Amino acid sequence: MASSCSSHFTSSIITSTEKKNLLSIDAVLGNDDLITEILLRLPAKAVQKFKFVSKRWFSIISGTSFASRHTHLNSHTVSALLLKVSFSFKKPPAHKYVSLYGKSSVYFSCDFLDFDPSNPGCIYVSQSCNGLLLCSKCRWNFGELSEPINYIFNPTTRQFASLPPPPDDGKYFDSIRLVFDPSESPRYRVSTLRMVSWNDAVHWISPMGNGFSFLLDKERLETIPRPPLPEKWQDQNFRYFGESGGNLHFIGILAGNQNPDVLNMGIASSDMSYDQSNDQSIAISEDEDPTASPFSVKKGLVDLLSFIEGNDEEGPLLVMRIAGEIISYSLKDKTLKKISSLPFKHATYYALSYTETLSYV
Amino acid sequence: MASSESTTTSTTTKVLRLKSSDNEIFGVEEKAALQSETIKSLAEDGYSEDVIPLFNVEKKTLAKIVEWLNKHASGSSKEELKRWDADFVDVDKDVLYDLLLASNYLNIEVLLHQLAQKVADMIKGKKPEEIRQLFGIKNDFTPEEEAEIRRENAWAFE
Repeated sequence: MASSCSSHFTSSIITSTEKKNLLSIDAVLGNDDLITEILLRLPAKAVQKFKFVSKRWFSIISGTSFASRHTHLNSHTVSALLLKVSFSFKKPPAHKYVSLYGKSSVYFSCDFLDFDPSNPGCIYVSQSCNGLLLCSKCRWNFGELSEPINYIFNPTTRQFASLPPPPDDGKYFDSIRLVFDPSESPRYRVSTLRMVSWNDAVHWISPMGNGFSFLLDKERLETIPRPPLPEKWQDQNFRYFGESGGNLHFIGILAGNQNPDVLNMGIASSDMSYDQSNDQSIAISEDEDPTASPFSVKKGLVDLLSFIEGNDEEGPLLVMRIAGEIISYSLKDKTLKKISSLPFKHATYYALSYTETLSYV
Repeated sequence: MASSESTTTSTTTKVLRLKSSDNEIFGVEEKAALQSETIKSLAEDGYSEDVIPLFNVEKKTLAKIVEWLNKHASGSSKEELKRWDADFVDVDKDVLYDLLLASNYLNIEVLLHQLAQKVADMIKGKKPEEIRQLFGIKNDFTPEEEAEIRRENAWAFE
């Protein structure tokens, strides 16, 4: 604190307030700890940009401890959606960045996912987890699709790592999952099972709501109580199963209703902590439209685009497609909010949460 | 300070006296004052019966700091504190920098984080050139070095 010492000493002899103020800011900027505290609280993308301010800032930001502290401090801050827009199976989807809070909504340039040009092929993003994307790349070889190469990609820093192939050529695994929670560990894991860790147990569930949990401490397998699903529930109604804010969520969609004038969508979000008071279902009719833009409601135009786990303060968000709009629903406040309009009527959409992170891959 | 605590009765609250660099003395309840790690260690070093000298904090800054310490020891609700804190950090840049330096020197972690967040919000949308101008920082990169960083971080500059 030698610098701030001298600033206060000097301030008593210099009377010009302007001169004194200059010294306060110099004392702040002369202290690496204070610059670090400020930079840690900026979004990852802004931090990347500020490397450029001076050599000193560059060296503070480039340090590995800065990246891991920044990642830890800013975990679970979803800022946008990565909207996948596909027109046909034959063409790779376009990717659009849709901000959750501002108006910004832009297409990524087509080389957005071309992070490994040394290995050409068609890339597919399958999962997004706290700022890291799980991608796989395939190539057509004499009319046959090559074995995919899996990557972990950080779109904020443009770093990537290719994953080793799964054991037994992936014969027994239909999918791989990325598990990354920077608030718990700076390391990510790739798992070959669709399971959710929660409360010292590992959980699996079928789209029909039948599931098991394996209690890690007792090494015992138990049946999960089935969420209170409606009678006509079918496996294609299932959308999501995961953990957020200490609750397990089982989410599905029931679109369509006996009354053709009312759009009725049920979302069963079940808290599996043996207390089912948190179950929610949302019914949206034309009158309740929060955005005052008329829904042209037709059956089948409602779907879940993404489930955003959210932080403790804001709680989880359901991001839905309702007619031509992207609407978010807060499970905590039970409010609906329009995020953006969908660019095309006749396209297939899928949304991943988009987080900026400086995390190393 | 176990010995002095045991001699005071539970009904009286102990007041610590803090002295600013320009010799103003502020009386602060011990519970509030000990949110500062620096004051805590000075008090443990035996200053508590006397005046605790804070050579790096002027009276106008210390007055604000004391206001913060009292509010955060008052048992206000989380929501009220949040609103109060937002008003507290809504000050001129120069006051903000002085508070930042003082909270760092006094080692009041919660306040330091709030103030750092305020400065971060202030500079968030700015370009590197604007940051240099705002803070009077000299660009010490050569044009070649600058081009190199731009190339490596092309995506950040969009």
